Amino acid sequence: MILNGNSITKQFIRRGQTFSAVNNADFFAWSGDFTVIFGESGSGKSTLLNALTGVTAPTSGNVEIDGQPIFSLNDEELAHLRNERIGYIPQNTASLSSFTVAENITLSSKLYNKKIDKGHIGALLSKLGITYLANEYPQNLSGGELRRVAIARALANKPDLIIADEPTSNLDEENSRKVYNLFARLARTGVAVVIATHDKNAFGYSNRVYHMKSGTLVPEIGEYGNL
Amino acid sequence: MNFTTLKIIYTNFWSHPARSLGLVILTAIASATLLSGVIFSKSLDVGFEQLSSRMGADLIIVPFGSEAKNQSVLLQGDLNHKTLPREVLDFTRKLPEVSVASPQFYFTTLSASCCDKKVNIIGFDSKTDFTIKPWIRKTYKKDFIPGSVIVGNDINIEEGGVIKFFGKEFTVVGTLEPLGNKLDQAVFADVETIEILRKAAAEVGYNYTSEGEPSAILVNLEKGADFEKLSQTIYEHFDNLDVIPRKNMFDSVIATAASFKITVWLIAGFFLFVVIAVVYIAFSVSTNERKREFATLLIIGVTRKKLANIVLGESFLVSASGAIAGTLFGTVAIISFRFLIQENLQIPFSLPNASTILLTIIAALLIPAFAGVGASYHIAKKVGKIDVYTALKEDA
Repeated sequence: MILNGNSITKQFIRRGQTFSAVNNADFFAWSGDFTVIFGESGSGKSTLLNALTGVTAPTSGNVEIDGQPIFSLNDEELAHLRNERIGYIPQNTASLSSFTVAENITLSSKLYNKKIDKGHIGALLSKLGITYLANEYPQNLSGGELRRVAIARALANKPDLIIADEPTSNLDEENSRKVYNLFARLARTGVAVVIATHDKNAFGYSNRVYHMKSGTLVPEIGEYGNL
Repeated sequence: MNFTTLKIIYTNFWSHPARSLGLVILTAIASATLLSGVIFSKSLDVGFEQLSSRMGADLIIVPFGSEAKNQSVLLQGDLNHKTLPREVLDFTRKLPEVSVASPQFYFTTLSASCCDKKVNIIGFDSKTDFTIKPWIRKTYKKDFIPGSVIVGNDINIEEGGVIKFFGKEFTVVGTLEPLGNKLDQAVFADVETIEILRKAAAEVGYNYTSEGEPSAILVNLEKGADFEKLSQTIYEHFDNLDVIPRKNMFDSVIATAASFKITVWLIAGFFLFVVIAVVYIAFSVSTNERKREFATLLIIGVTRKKLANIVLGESFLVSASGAIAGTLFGTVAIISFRFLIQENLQIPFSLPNASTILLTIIAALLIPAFAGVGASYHIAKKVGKIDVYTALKEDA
């Protein structure tokens, strides 16, 4: 799996002025990589991740997965790609309030009539420490619990690319460590993991780091090679 | 749409039960008013058509001032007993413009001990009649025997039974099919029976008419005959009568029916408009509240088209449930209360045939259901274009 972003620029209009949230960013991630995009709040990390997952089209530039430009895909193909291959954990995720935690987590499989791998789902819940929440409804959960539910949901379909935006926000140190360990283990099995964070603890699990500042992405390849 | 998508639609319906049920009830009202409006209108049309064809003549000659009463004869059963001189009938029959002229005789019996019930009796001359006999013949094929009567559908005396008027018993030889107007409560008799009745009434002190004096004369003209010239000729020879052309016979009935129709259509249109407006507002609010949920669905692989379909599915569930409930209620109500409607409106009202009712039911199901879906279409399109990043940031 190769994720390749070329010259990604995303501009918005802010107070009548054009503003580049992401400016000419080049990015790639391979199978087995644990990539961290580090940067302060408002540096453009989330916008870049939205472009990499295909949920927001860049103003210019392109994103390819295994050589396939994802923005040339139609609605159905892109949706299928997100369902099959990308586990995206956005910064402010939401759950379907009338579905239980277990139903929320298996939703992506059920929407495509896939067989639910109960063993895999059970293991995910266990690794994230939310087994006891399986039959709860999202409105009864804390912010940290909801975060872990969102992570479990993103991993339910065994994606080969995980893109997570501040995955450990709302999590305590212990649970943050569980999440990083889970991602690191997945990376070792060949999954490409990309996380955006301002938590420097993530560096210890990664093998590739990008710095993002005011929309500009700077690679620091090889500096943190812990995998 | 797979089961999970349907479950999303279904669970969202019940996640706001008050709002959903409110929309269902509103759509049900729209559907019921639409259904009853159409059936009501059609029933008036059918009722009037039946009345017009069954009582149809090119013109009618009546005693002066009883024009309104003659419309009442057909609809309200409130008769006076003015009659025309016998010579008017003889004169009219001899006119070259006249193809056929046939007398009718109207009586009201009493609710006194001499009579079984107070009813209108409509007499006709079976030898010349061309308005009543044809549709009586649909039910009653035998001869019109003196002393026998044929009763309207609402008079509950079986064939072979007897009914007493002015102290004299008359044999019921037939019951007519329902007409949907006051004629269902009338009794019909040939001229010979009318004469027996007239004499019986006179014997107990009610001298309504003299022998052979008709209450009205129904006339069919020769082809191309000039109504104006004919009426002029009649007016020149006789005073105290009115010659009324067919087109004017049911003026007040038509006007009343038209005003009722306009009213019911306005009510139906109003509720349909309210459904469209309320569904639009409700779904606009609902989808706005659920932007993050929709964004999440996109992220896990739902297509934008399917997102829009979820919104359309939800509005369809609401409006279709309402349409089904409303159609059922409307159908039951209009069938159950049709007699009450006939009674109170005093205009011809007869349910249309089964296929018209079926088509109306289908329309009452589909129109509000698709109006609801149509109202949410714009919202669904907006949801289909949702920006995930913005949606997730909102109210996070």
